[in-house]
Amino acid sequence: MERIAIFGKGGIGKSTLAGNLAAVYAKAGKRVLLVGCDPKHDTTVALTEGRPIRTVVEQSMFMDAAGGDVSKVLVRGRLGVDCVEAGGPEPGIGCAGRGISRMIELLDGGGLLRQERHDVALFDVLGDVVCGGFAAPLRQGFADKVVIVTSEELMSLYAVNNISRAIRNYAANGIALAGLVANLRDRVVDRKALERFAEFLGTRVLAFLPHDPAVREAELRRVTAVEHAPGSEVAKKVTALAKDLLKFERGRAKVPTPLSDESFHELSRQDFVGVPRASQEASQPSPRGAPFVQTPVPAEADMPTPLPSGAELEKELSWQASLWKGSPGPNSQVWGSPDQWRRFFCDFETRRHARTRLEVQAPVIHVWHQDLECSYATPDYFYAGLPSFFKFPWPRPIGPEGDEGPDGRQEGPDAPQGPEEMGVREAMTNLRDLDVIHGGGRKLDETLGLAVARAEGKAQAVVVHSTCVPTVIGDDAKAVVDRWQKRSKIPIVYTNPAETNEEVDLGLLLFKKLQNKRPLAHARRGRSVNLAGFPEGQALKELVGLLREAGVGINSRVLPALSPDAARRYLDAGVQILYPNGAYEEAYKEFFEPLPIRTVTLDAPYGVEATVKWLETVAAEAGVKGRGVAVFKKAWEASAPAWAAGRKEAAKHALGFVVDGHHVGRLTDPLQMWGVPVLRLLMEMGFGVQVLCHGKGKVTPNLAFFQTSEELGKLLKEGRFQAVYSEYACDRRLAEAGKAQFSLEPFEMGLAGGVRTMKALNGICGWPFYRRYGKYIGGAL
Amino acid sequence: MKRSSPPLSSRLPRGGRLEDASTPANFPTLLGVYLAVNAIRDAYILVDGPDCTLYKAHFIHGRHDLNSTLLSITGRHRVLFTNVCSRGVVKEHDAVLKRHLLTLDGLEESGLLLVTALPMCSITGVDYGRVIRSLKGKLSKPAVDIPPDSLAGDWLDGYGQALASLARGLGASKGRGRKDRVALVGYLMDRNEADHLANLAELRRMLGALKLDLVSVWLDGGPASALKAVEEAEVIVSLPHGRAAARRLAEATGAGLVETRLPFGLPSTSAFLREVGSATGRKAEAEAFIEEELSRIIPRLKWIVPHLFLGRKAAFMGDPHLLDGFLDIAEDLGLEVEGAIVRGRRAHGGGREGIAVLHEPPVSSSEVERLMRAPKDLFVTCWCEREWPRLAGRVMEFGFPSYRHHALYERPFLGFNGFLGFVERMADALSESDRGP
Repeated sequence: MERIAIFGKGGIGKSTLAGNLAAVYAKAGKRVLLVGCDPKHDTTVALTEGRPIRTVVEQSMFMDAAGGDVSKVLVRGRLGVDCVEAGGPEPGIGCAGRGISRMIELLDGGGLLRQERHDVALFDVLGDVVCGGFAAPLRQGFADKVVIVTSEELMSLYAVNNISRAIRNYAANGIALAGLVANLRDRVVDRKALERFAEFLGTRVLAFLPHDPAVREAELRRVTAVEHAPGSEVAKKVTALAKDLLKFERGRAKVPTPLSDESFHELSRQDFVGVPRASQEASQPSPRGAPFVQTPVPAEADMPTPLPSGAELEKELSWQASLWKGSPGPNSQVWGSPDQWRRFFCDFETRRHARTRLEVQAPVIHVWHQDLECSYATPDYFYAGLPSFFKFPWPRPIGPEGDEGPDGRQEGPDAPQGPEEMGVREAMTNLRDLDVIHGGGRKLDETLGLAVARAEGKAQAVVVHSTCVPTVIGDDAKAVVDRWQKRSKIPIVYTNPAETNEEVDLGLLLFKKLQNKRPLAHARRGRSVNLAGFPEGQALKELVGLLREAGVGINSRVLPALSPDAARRYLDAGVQILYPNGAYEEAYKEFFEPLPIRTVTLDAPYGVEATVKWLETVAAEAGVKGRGVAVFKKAWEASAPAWAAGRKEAAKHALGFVVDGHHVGRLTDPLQMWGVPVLRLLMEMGFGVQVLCHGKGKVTPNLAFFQTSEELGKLLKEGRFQAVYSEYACDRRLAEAGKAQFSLEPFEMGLAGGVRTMKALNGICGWPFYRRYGKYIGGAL
Repeated sequence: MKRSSPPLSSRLPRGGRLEDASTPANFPTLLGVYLAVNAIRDAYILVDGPDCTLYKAHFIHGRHDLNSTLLSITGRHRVLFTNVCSRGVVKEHDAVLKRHLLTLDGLEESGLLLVTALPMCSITGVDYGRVIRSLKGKLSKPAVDIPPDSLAGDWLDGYGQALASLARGLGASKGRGRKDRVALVGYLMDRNEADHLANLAELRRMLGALKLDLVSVWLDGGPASALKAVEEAEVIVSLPHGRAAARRLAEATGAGLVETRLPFGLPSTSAFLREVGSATGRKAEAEAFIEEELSRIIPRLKWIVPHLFLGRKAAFMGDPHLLDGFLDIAEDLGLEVEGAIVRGRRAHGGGREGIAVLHEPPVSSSEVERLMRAPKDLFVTCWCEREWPRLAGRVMEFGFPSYRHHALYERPFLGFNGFLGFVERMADALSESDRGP
C-alpha cells in the first residue's frame, strides 16, 4: 500500500491537493483511504458532496482503550474513496494534536492499514508540525512518503523548512520526503529560487501547480478539480504528480537537511543563492553511558584525625559536619548514583514529604483538576501500618491530634465537621482523552459548581488543585475559579503546583490572616504557650500532661496538624515553643516570623536531662516555674527505675551508623535529624555507638573508615554493634551482614518516651533474626 | 462547518452530586504497566514524566508485592524517569530519552528495555517507538515502546497493552511450534509471591494431566529471554488479561489460539480444561481429569458448605475477571452475593444478570455507600484505603492490590487446588467474622 502524507502551512492547499490526489487514484481504479488529520475536518468534503462526516473524536470507540471496529469510522465517499476525519476541539480550547494522535492509535489498534483494504492511503495533516500529535501520521506503519505543499511566499517556505525538521526527526521510522509541491499564488514566480531552496533541503520540487480558476469552481460545486475540469492545467499536473508519487522510491531519498533559522532568513533574502552557514543542523548527541542525572558530588573529604572514644566522638563529628553543610542531594532523583552503596539516609524524601504532611484539619473541599494517573502519583506514606520503601521519621499512626484548645478546651464552633455532615471532601475532574482534546474547563466548571454548592454553610473553603495535564493543554483553570469566586462567598483557593512547583499551603493562608491581628494584652496571655512542630503521639500527650499539671496552659498546638481554631487564637498565648526540626525551618519562617509573639526554640526533650530542662524552661516562660519543679521531679522519680533498667540492658548493646561527609552532621545536629540528638541520646541511654565513616583516617574503637563497598560490607559484618541505622526499609546491606536495622521511628520525647525508646532499641539489638538468618535474605550490592 | 464540542452530559456521567465526582474505583494504566514490568525479572522501564513515575512503583514494591524488585537499595531501580515537567515537556527531549535508554542498555542486569509516558508527556505526541528505532545498532538489549494509554484505559488495559507491545516488539518467529507444547498468554502475575507461584504450578499440573507441556507463560516472573519460548507452542492459550497479545503471538508464530476463561472456581476451571482439551485434541483426557479432580475435591466440602457458607451474604470488589470466578464459587457454595464493585472499565466485563455490579463507580457515590452498608457476612475485596477501616472483621483481602494479605507459602487460588485454597481462606475469614471483634 502506498502511504502518502501531505503537509504544509495552513491555507496552502493541502486538503485540495489531497482530495484531488484521492480522486485521481480512485479514477485509476485504486482503492483509496483519505484521512483528514485536521481539527477543521474539511479534508474530505470534496468527496462527500460537501457534507461533513462524523469525526473519530465523536465516535464512542474513541473513549474505549481497546478501540473497536475501525471500519465503522469510514465513510464511503464519491468514486469509492473511504473517508475518515479526526476532528478536534473548538478553536482555542483543548489539544487538537491529541485528537489526531488518538485517531492514529485507533487506526493502528484496529489494524486498518495492515489489512490491505486499500491501495493508497492519503493523510492530510494540519499546518506546521506544531507538536508530536500532528506528527502522528509519521509514526511507523502510517505515512511513509511525505509531500510538502508550499507557495512562493516566505512564511510558507519557512514552514517547509520546519516540516523538514520533523521528517528528519522521524527518518528512523522509514519516512522519506518525496518532495515539494509548489502551489503558486502568482503566475510570475522565480521557480529557480524554489528549486534552489529544495536542493538545500536535499529534495526537489515535484510539481508547480498554477493558479487555476478550475480549482475555485470545483470547490463551489463541492467536487474535486480533477472531476470538475479534467482537462484543466491543474488537473493534468495533479494527475502527473499522482503518478510520480507512486514511482518515487523511498530507498533513494535523502534524509532532509533543513536550514538553521539564521541561514534560512539570510538565504531567503538572496533568493536562495549562496552557501548556508549551517546547511545541516547538528543532530542530537547520544553519549553512551553518560551519567543519568548530573548531580554535583563534592570531592571526597579528607577526614580529620580519628577520635579516641566516647563523648569526644560527638564533638569531633560536629566539627566534621560543619565541613559538609548543605544539601546532600535527593536520593530518589539520583538514579543509580555511584555513591548509593554508602547512602543510608533519605534526606530529600523526608524533607519533601514532611511538608506535604502539614495538614489543615478544617472543613475544606478539595477539587482536583486531574486525570486518574495523577490520583496515584504518590502512595500515602502516612497511613498507619503500611510499609514503605523509606523509613520516615514521623510516628505511626498519625492521629488527628490537632488542637485541644486552651486548658484542654475542646474544638470550637467552627470545628471540622465529620464526613457525615459535610459528605465527600474530595472531588476530581478525571480528565480523559476527550477532555484533553476539547479542554477540561467545562468539566472543572461543573465539578467546582458542585463543590461550591456543597460548601455553602458547611465548609470553610474550596481548594482547586490544577495539575500537569490541564497545564500542558492550556486549560485556564484560574479563570474558572475566578468566575465561581464572584458568585460565592466561600473562599476558593486556586493552586497549581505544576505551574509554580509549589502547592498553596492552606495553613499558611490561615496564619497570614493573623498578621494584622492585635495580640491580647500581656495579662491575658500569661501562663499559656503554643507548641509548634512537635511529633504527635503518646510522648507529646505525656509532656503536655506534665505541663498542665505544673499550671502551664497549652493554648494552641500546631503543625503538622492545624485547625482553624488553633490558628485563630494563636496570638492569645504569650510565647511559642518551636520544635527544632530542619525539615520545618521554612514552614516556621513562613508561618511565624511575621507574628508578634515571642519565640523560644529549645533543644527537643529527648533524654532525661533535655526533657527536664525543656519542661522547666517552658514552665518558666509561662511564669509558673516554682510549681513545675515538684511536678517534674515526681515524674522523673516515677521513670527513674525504668531508665536504670533500660540503661543496664543498653550497656550490653551497641548501635552502628554509616556516614559519609554529607551525613555525618545527622548524628550531632538534631536539626538534620528531625530534632533528635541521636548520638547524644544513645550515649545517655548507655548504648555503645560505632560510626563507620567513608574516607580515610585513624581507626578507634568508635570510628572506622572504609572506601569501597567491600570494605563497608566487611565492617558491617564484623562490627560489634547489633543494629545499624538505615532509612531504607528492609535494607539488605544490613541483613547480609547479619545486623538488624533501626531508624528514627522508635525515638520518643520525654521521660516515659525515653524508656519506651530504650525498650524498643534493646529489643531490636537482642533480636536474633538477622544474626541467624540474615545471610539468606541479603545479596551483595 | 462550525461544530460545538459534545454536550456536557455525555462527558460527565454525574447526577449533580459532588459524591459522583469522587475518584473512580479503578487504578490507572501505569500501575498495570508496572505490574507487567514487575513480572519480568530483568525488565527496566523508562517513563517520560516527572518523579511521581518513580513513586508509583511504591504502590507495588513492598506493599502489594513483598518480593518485588522494582526498587533497589542500589538506586538502580527498574523504573526510571526523564524528570520532564509540565514546562519542559513543550521542548523536544529526544536526547534525554536516548541517553537514559543507553544507560539502561549498559546495565549488566537489564534484559529488556521498555519505554512509556505519563499523559502530560504523551499528549504532546512523542513517538517513543521512533526514539528506540533511532538507536538502532546502538542498543544491545531488546527495546519496546508501550503506547501510553492513561487517558483512555485503566490498569487492566495497561497490563494488556504491555503484553501486546512485547508481542509486537520481541519479534516471535513462525514455524517453531512443537507438538504437545502450549503457552499461556495473559496471566496476571501481579506479584512474585507464593500465591502466584502456586497458581503457575497448578496450571502446569493441570495441563500436564492433559499431557501438555507448558513452555511459556506471559507473564510468570521470569526473565525477558524466557518469553521467546512462546514460539515453541503448538497452541496459545489466551487468558483474559492478555487477549490482544495472545492474538498477535498466534498470528506471528502460526500457533493455534484458544481463548479461555480464567480458571478461577470449579466451573471456570472445568471450562478452561475442556477448551484447551478441545483445541489440542484431548477432549476425553480433559473430561477424565475433571471427573477425577472433582471426586477428590468435593468430599472435602461436605461439612463446610452447609454449615459455614450456605445462605451467607457476601460482596466483592476487584478485578472483573476474578469477579466472574467468584460468582461461580459463590453459587456453588450457596453464598448470596449482595453486589460487586469492579475495579475496571465496563468494557472489561465482569458480573452477570441478577447481580448488581458497579463498574469503576465514584468511591463516594450513593451506590457504593449502599453496597457498603448492606448487611453482609463477608466482603472479598482488594485493598481499599477508604473503606478498609469500616469493613474490619468482615473482610477477606484478595486480588490487586493486597496490602495486608501476603502469601508466604504456596497456596494457589486458580485451578482445582486453588479453589480449595480460596474456599479455605473464605472459611477462615467467615469464622473470624463470626467470632466478632
